[in-house]
Amino acid sequence: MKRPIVLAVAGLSLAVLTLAGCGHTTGTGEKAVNAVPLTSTTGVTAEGGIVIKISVSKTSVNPTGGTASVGVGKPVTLLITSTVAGQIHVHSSPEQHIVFPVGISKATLTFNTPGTIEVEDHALDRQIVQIQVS
Amino acid sequence: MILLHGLGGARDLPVPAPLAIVAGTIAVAVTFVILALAWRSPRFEGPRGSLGIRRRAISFFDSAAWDRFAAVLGLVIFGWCGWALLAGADSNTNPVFGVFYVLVWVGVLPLSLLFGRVAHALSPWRTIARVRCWITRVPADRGLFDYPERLGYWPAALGLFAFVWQELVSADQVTLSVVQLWLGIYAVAMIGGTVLFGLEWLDRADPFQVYSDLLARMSPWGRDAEGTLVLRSPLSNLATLKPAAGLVATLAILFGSTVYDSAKDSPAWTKFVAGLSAGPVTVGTLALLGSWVAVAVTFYVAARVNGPISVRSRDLPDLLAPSLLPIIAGYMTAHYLSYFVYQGQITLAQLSDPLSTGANYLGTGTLSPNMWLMDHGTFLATLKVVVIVIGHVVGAIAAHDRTVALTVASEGQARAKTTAGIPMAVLMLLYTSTGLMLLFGT
Repeated sequence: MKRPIVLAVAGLSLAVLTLAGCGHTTGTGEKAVNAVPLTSTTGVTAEGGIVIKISVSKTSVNPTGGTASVGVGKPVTLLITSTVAGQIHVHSSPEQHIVFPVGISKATLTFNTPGTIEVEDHALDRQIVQIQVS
Repeated sequence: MILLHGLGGARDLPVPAPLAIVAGTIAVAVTFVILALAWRSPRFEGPRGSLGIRRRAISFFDSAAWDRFAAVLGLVIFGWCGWALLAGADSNTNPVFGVFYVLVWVGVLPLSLLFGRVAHALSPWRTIARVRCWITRVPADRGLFDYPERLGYWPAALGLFAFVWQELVSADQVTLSVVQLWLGIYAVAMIGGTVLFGLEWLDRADPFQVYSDLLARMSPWGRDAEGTLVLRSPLSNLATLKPAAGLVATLAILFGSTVYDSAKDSPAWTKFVAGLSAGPVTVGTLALLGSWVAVAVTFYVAARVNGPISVRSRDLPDLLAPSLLPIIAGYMTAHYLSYFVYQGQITLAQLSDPLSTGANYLGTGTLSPNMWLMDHGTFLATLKVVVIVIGHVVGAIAAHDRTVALTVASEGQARAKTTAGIPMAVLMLLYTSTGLMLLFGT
């Protein structure tokens, strides 16, 4: 660290990040997926994989835990109905997160390695589902 | 956000039920065979057990040249990681997280089992103390005071608790400032301790070194009665572990933390925690403490009633504690294997870029993780249960042999019919079946 201003900026950013309450900052290895807005929840098919319906509000998320199974390489469609915009973290290898808007939206993910993938709501720190890929 | 193990990535699939049941059955069967064989003189202790192979090639690893090479290597690694710690980015691309939670914490297990006292050899605290003493012309192994033997391994047990809390419970596992704080306090404790108590402080209070030294007892590397480095059967080596205060507590936190780590990933636990009004950190802390206490108490009770009755039951837990080590090693291997393989490769790539500037100083920056082990789920699951069963069998043999050795030492000969040894065997079956159930249930 050569210049004090660099230190000051670094220290301030650190403070801001810590205050933001997020214990996990995004690294370059993490993929961001934007959920596609929909007008209604009907007409979303599993296409050989599974559909997981998630409802999010400011204070709660549904489901809260539980498991879902899917095959390797098969699509996992997250159908999100939310009253707030937010992020869902997906602990796959490598990790990814889904950015979703207010209203109804969907995001489709595929996992190419077997394992158990935890999906959680970022704002509420609650696990939504564990996806078992085999 | 609550992350698993301190870093992200997918977890393993649950072990299939048939595999877990077969493994459990084998463990039970072998345990009964061991009890039935009931050998009457110790195989791994006493005159038969202390044999070791001395060779000139082995004595090289006891030389000052090798000692200095290892110390310098340890200092270089320490410096590189310290640079990333103090000047690197607060992002999960900083290799310091992977080094802390994966390469050191998990890596010390295979390295110590293969090569002996790895942490002791590489320890930067030891090198710093020796350099300080060389400069000030003070003998390095003495400090201002003698280390109080009554403390034993207790400082290491507390240090291990502090580590597993940060790894498993803390909400700030991948926050650079928090890891800086943890490592800062740890550094001050280690350096300060060597000033106060000499190098023996590290042998008793450095959580990573104590963990490595305990595992090194299951390596082939040992010392004979004259202190010469010898190669020896791991079970005989294990029998040389001397009882000390806090040994049971140290082993209990190692096993208990892994039990907690497995249990907290299960859907049942997640639902339970979500329904509580207390925050996840509070619940996690209490659960981690509870696991620690549960393992310590069950072991303590089983050891005290294990016998032989000719030995004071107060002394039995410390005397029988070494036999827990193979079970701990087996379970930790099964639990951390794919995590080590995956996150370890990622960390090796990140080490080339300590400041997250896009550099590639060590040439590993373009490595992308080889997923072979994770792609072959059946092989991985089988390997995990095999390792747990092996740990159980070795532990059961060690416990039985120690019981026989204690009987012979105190009564002159082992009795033909005795119930000594059965409580420990039952305890180990309890631990192994808990481990298998957790692998299956999560």
